[in-house]
Amino acid sequence: MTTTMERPIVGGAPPIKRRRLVYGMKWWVPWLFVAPALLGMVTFLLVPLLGGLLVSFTQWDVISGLDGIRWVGLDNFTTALTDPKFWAAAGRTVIYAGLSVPLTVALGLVIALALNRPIPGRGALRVIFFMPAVVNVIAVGSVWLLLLNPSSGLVNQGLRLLGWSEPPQWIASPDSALAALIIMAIWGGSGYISVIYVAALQEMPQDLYEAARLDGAGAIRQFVTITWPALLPMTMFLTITQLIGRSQTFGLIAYMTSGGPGDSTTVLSYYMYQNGFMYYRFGYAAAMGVLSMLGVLVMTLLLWRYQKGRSLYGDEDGNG
Amino acid sequence: MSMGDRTFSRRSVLTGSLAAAGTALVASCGNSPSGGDAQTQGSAESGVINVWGAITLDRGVQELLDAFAAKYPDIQVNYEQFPNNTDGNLKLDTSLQGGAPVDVFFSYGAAAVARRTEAGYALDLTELAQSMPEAEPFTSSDPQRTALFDDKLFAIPTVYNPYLVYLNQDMLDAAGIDVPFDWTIEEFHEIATELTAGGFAESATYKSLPLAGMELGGDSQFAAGGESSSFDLPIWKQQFDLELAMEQDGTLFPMEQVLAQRVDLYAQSYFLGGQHAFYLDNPATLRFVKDLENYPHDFRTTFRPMPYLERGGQQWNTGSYEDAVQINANTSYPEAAKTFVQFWLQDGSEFMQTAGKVPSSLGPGQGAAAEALFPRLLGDDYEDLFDTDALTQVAFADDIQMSVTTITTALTEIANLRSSLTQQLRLGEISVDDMLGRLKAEADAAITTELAQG
Amino acid sequence: MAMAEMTLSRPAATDASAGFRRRRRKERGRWLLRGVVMWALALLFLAPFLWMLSSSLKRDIDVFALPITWIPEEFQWTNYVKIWTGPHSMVHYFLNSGFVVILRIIGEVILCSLAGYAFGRLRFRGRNPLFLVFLASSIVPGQLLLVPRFMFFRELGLYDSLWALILPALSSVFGIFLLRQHFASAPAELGEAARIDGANEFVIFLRIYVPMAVPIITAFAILVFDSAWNDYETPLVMISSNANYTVPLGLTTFISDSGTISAALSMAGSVSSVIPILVFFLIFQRRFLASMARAGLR
Repeated sequence: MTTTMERPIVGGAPPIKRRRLVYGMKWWVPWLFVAPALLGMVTFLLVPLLGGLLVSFTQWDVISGLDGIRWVGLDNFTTALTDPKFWAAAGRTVIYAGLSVPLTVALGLVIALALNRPIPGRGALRVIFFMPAVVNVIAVGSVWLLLLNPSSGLVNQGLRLLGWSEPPQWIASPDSALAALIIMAIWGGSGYISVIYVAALQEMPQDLYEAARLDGAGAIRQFVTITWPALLPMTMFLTITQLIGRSQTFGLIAYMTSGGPGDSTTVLSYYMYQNGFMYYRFGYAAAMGVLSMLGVLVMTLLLWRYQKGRSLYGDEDGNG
Repeated sequence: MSMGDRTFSRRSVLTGSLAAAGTALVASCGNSPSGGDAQTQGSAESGVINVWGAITLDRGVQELLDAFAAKYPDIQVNYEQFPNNTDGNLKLDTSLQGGAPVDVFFSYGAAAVARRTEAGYALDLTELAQSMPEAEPFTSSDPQRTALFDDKLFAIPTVYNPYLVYLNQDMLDAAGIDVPFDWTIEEFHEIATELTAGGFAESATYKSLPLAGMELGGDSQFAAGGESSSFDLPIWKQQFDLELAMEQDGTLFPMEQVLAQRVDLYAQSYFLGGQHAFYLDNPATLRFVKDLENYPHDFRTTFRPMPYLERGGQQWNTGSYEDAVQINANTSYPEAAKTFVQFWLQDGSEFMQTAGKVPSSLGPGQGAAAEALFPRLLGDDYEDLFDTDALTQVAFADDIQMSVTTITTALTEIANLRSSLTQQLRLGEISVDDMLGRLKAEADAAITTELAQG
Repeated sequence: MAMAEMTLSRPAATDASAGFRRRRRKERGRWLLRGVVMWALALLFLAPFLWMLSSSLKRDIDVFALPITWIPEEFQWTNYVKIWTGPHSMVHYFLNSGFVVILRIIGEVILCSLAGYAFGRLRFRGRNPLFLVFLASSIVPGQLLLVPRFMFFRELGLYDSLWALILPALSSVFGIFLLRQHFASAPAELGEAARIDGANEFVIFLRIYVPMAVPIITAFAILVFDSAWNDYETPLVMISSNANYTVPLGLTTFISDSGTISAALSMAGSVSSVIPILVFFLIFQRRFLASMARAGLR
């Protein structure tokens, strides 16, 4: 066994310090530690994943059991790639995740920056911004259905009060339904993001700012030259994990809009659900699942590479 | 679960587990649903049965179960309530497929009946039905009753669900309008316009008229033979022209509101709140009308048949015999399950009436028998709240022709396509011709896909 | 609270120069502006909660009524009575959720600490590829797994049991990652000293490294609570009988068989579902937020 320093995965942890070999430890001891988690992952993730992969090459309605399963090779994949609805759904997923995540992260950062300065009622504010993160999707969906009602909803009543005579119809119109879901995502997510940013800001070395102030740098300049570069790795990490999560959003959409009006909120996860659970085309749904997984994989790798190239501290940084 | 005493070959641990996992998966796949070779236990008087239905216990089911327990103390019944929506139905399907204990289950709609029957989960109930006067008519090939599979009956409808128009009598009186019993679709639209234009109602109705179903019956969405859709027929254009016109002139509840409030889930509130003049539904809504606690209102509800395409013409009622009860082919207690089904259809039906369920033993032309149900069906104050004469006359009219759906190909997908395109039509995104063109093409594609898979 | 901070943040300005005073005034102005803007934003964040509470005390028919009423004329406490008693009482949903939450916390903490320790602190062949496999598994979309999982669970007899919600969650990728990061940065010397003294690896883990990891483990446990209490999609597919419904699933039962929903009841249910975790959060908020931050930072 070598003792060369090993690169941490995902630019993550502080690298394990170079140290002497651990004598006397049997080679299988670490495996004992890993075994329960490994067993769990193999049983509940890899096996079903393998099953899902197999199903993606078949035609299957589940209810007829395994007698009803039929091997169709790559048919499901070619169908998906030539299905305009698949591409439309994929596009909506990209819009939904691609807009909601940067906006959530940005608002979270703004809140964190504000909370990092003296502000009246800071403790209460932190609690309030974080509250949406502890609510289940059914409660979230139910109350937002009331709030977003075009005529009697609180949101549009407020907008009319502000002078917008014809505010958006939100989930009642194909033009604004996705926007409504994005707003809800921002509401639900930015408090969580801000908490993490606040902690990061508090760990920032204050002498850097002192030095910048002495050089006459204003607040914006300080942010651009010091704060942002230091936060970049964490921003990337948050962005990646949020993108993975958002691209799988399903429960909220199923509950609130059922993919409508029209198909305007039929994102990929919901289109899969329609094909699998409503039309009993589980093979096709699985194939779309595989494709969406590949898409997320590519996106993750790209962002990771980008972050590695841009990070101030390179691999050394503990952005987790 | 402890892995402590195992040893692993260093490299093969991952591949090994994968292989093992694969084997486990393959092994797990031995179950076949169509067995029907389950060991039979119990008898007609004893056993343990699990019943899956959508009606909640508080709506008569508990009383029915209590009565059943009193009559058959040796049959233990576990009632499993499932919501009648995609997830609820999928749960039932997966439970059937997975061999979870399901002995008796209810299927709502032709697609659900067909899916479960074709997959082999339904026991042949022909003999059972023939032994009961209440269910015997369903075993005949009467096209108004129910669909048979291979000349066998696998599902017995428990409820008679004709489509009716509920009307706010007080609102009509205030407007000085008398609605004839043989009104036409033009009159329906005219009266609706009068009521909304005159400020008597915010909107006239939540639903528009299903003209195609009225003209073509239960398989109205399919061309003859069932291999393509029928959306190129002129009646569909007529139907959606009317729906769009009503959306635009404000007689139809605005689609925007439907979407914003998920009104599909509680549309009756608007009728009972006095905002809408009509409500189109089957007798299930009767229970909301009589529920003054949750829907306080003081107007009288009257009834009319669905408007006629042509005065004096013969047309389909878009309602049908519904809430079909089925017995799992794999049940361990078939005799006890049959006892339960029989009880539900006979002694039990009175308990379901409080939930607005008119028993399937009744039908067109049986108004006299129906009056006995009124106290349960309509509540204690029924004389004040309901125009019972009109109800009898409308719901049990001799000329009612109930719809039967026999083609179920891609039914759910077509319904989704329709609802998605109707939303776009009513929101002004597309024209009727665009809509029908797309609906025809996409529905045909769905049918072709489904048939290719069948 | 605002007042307290205001007085605190104003030092005694006895011999302040004009420039200093100007700066102080500017500071004060900014402080106030920030406060106004952030509190306005906070009200927007808070409004859904207030509306939820308000609607839960209305009659169904008044939920959509105009003009908007924040405080119902007559509080409909019966909405709460209805959902906490009767055939679909929330009580057993709460018990089920509680069971899942407790077992998931215990299980995930144990499994993830062990694995995180091995990945962060011990060296063995295949460690990094294996860790990468764990990480990669987080991109597998849930819908792809649902049906195979369902089939598999049925075989294991776990379908429609609360174990179906617990077992698959145990080897949490997030938890393993979090704890691995923590253990990797823990000092190696302590363990090595113990090793020289002949302590076995498990004792070293349990006696030396776990006590040091208590804050991060607490943070993780809190996150598990949050995710287990609010999980909706897993029980949606894995649980079939009402007896096994957890809280989020229980909330959907206010949609009745014929598809009618009670907006007021569903709001009362929503309020009830949020209260336990919100109370927990308010009591432990410092801990909670600090833990959350720590979890995110690592």
